[in-house]
Amino acid sequence: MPYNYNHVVSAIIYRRIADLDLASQLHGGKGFKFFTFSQLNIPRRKAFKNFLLSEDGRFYFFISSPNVELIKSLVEGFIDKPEIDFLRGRVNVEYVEFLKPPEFQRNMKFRTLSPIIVKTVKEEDGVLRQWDVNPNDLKFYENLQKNLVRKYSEFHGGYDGDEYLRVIPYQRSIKRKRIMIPKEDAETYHRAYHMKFRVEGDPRLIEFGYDCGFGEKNSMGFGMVVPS
Amino acid sequence: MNFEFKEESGLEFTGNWFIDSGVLGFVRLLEDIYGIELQEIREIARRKEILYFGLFPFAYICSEINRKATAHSRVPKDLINEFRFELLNSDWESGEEIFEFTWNNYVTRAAMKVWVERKLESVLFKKNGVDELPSDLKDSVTSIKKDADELEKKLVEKHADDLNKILGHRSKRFKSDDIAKILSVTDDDLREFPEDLSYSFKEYRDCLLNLMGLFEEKWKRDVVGKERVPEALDLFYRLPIDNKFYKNFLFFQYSAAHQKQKESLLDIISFRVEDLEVLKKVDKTINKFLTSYKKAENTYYAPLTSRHLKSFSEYLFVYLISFDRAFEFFNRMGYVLFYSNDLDITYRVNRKLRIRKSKIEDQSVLLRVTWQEIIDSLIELKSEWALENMYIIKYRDVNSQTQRFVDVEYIGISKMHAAILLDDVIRENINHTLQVGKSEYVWLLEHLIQNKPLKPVVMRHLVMRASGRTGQMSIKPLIYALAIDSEVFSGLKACVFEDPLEISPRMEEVVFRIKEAYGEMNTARRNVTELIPRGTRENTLNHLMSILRRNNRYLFVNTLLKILMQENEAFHRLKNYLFNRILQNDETWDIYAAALLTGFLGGR
Repeated sequence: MPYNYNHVVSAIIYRRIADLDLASQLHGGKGFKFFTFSQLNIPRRKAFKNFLLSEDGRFYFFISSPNVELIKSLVEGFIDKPEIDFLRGRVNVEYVEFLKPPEFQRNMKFRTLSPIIVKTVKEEDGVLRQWDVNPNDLKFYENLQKNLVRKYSEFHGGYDGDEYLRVIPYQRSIKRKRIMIPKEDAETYHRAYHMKFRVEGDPRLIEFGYDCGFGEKNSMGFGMVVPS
Repeated sequence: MNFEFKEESGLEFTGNWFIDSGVLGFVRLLEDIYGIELQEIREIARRKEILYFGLFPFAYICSEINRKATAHSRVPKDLINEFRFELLNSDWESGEEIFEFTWNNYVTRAAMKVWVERKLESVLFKKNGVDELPSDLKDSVTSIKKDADELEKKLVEKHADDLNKILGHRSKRFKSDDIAKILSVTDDDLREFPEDLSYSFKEYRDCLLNLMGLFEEKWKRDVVGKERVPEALDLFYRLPIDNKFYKNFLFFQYSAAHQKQKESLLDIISFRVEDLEVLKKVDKTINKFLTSYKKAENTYYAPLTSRHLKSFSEYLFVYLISFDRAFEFFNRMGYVLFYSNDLDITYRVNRKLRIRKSKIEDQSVLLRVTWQEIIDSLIELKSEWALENMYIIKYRDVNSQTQRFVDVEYIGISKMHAAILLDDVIRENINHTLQVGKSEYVWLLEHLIQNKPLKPVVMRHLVMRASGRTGQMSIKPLIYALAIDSEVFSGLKACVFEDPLEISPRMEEVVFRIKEAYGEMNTARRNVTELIPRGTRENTLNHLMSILRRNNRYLFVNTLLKILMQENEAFHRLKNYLFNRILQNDETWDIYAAALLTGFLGGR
């Protein structure tokens, strides 16, 4: 499989949502999609220049969402039609499992299962353009927090808690990852970051970040975390 | 609530357990003597004077007589019936008139034989027995006693072995207990013994009968039908009644002569607070737990003055002296009383305990029988309001010196439990005993009433079923038990006070919700049984049970999902149950999971 596979996994997820209304609502909607997924884990893999090879043909990944109906629909889809199109071949879903969520507290440590993207808008030559921000820029944290609160408010119809959210990465754990996502015949490159970090804030916000993903473009496979 | 205020008769509980025990004792006393039940007593109680001044004193004296009477001196049933008939079918002007009639004509007749027996004992076995007799009896009694003594000596010396067969002991003299035995020996019985013994024995028996005849004649002449006994013989004619519980109280005192006994009983019934010192207070003369007025050493309750209680209960002392009658003696447990604040339930439950007395040998059986009757009463009387305050009260002894509580056990049922039990379908379905060990069984209903969760019982039973160690097959009781658990033990808030307006709708709702939960669990259970192949079910059951015991929700769901990935139809039918009732249900997921396990067992 190619190194840039986010769009492939994303397509699998959309295709496997059994509830058609929900699928079209997610796909067509312009707002947040409220789910995220991890990078692929390939236990027996071999890396080549342009692709990765799973020697035994097995791989797995995690999906997470605060939307229970979506998860339910996905599981239903995978069990109903375990055979899925994958690139030009076909793979079978062997099994689906649920993960026990952690106990959410004000202070937690996480590590990313898929890298985090945070963007900002900058003016260049009189035109507003989007830029990926890196964790050395304070804007990274400000926008990460704003994004999480916005997502929470949209999903729950409002947020009445403390918006304070402090994210402290372990500097040595930060790894940049460049990911290409094809979009309408063009190729868009994103600078995303894997990291371990400590987060402090309202446990509701932290839980929502765990379910939905931190940062932006969650539904394209960015920002998924697990307790570290 | 279905309670109706029943009483014009006034025969109801007061809310004070001590007085209420007396009310129950009063009812049981009348039931014992006249064979009438609570409802009939209530009917009669509309004519209060007849009940309290007639039926009560006669029954009370009869029961005191019968308590220690021999077969010969027990109050004859015919006399009791005759009294009851005459009392109920005559017109009376006042309570005092009824009491006079009762005492003079019937109490005296009822007490005659026991009095005669005591006098006979006194003459035969007491050193100065003859000296205490009135002069008109002395000569004739002395003469007969002399003959009797000679005969006794002869019998004991010559026929010790044969007497041993008749009396059951060897002794140099007869004992007071022997009198009843001697009187009960018939001529036929004596045929197997030597003629010499037979002749002397008959002669001795005739002596006894002659003495008794003399006493009977004297009693009839001076006492029966008389308003007063001769003043000089007042103590001689004392009714030989004694009650350990009220040893020092009025007519039980040994110094109380016949007339005093009569007056004291009337004082108690008419509750003449002003006239009689002892009735001015309710103190430890009645019960050890009350205050002693002389030395206020053992003050357990506040001092109670009768004046205050008079308006509270018109016949207070009638009930108080009936207190000990409420208790039933059980082997190994002592004196036991089931008490609730409803007379009907208390009466019925205690009656049932009494009927089953021979089978009740320990606390567990006592509770089981009690619960069965409580539930029957609950259904019939619908007095669920009474069920919140129920107690088992145990005394070690009802002796005046050692009135000691062994235990007071609170066994109240909450409103919610009562509401659940009142539903016929639910009750019938959990009125089951489940095998949970080799020889261990649990009655689901009892467990519920005791507010214990039912799921552990169901789980233990499932283990038995899974390993084929029980022949029990039914599924419905298991599902109902789990459905109840899911509602009773979910959403319990630790609030001390609850808005009364919210209680009632919640009670009604709980039954509905239990049935809904049952429906959902049962459908899921059937889907498992019908859509997952038997082999798969049998292979997975133990593993799932073990996961459930370890309380690992996610492993349970994931293991189930692995099975369901092979059984598409089953997955579709169960997916909502899995998500809503197990995965997203933090509080009661284990109960819903246990319901699924019953499906893995199969059966109906």
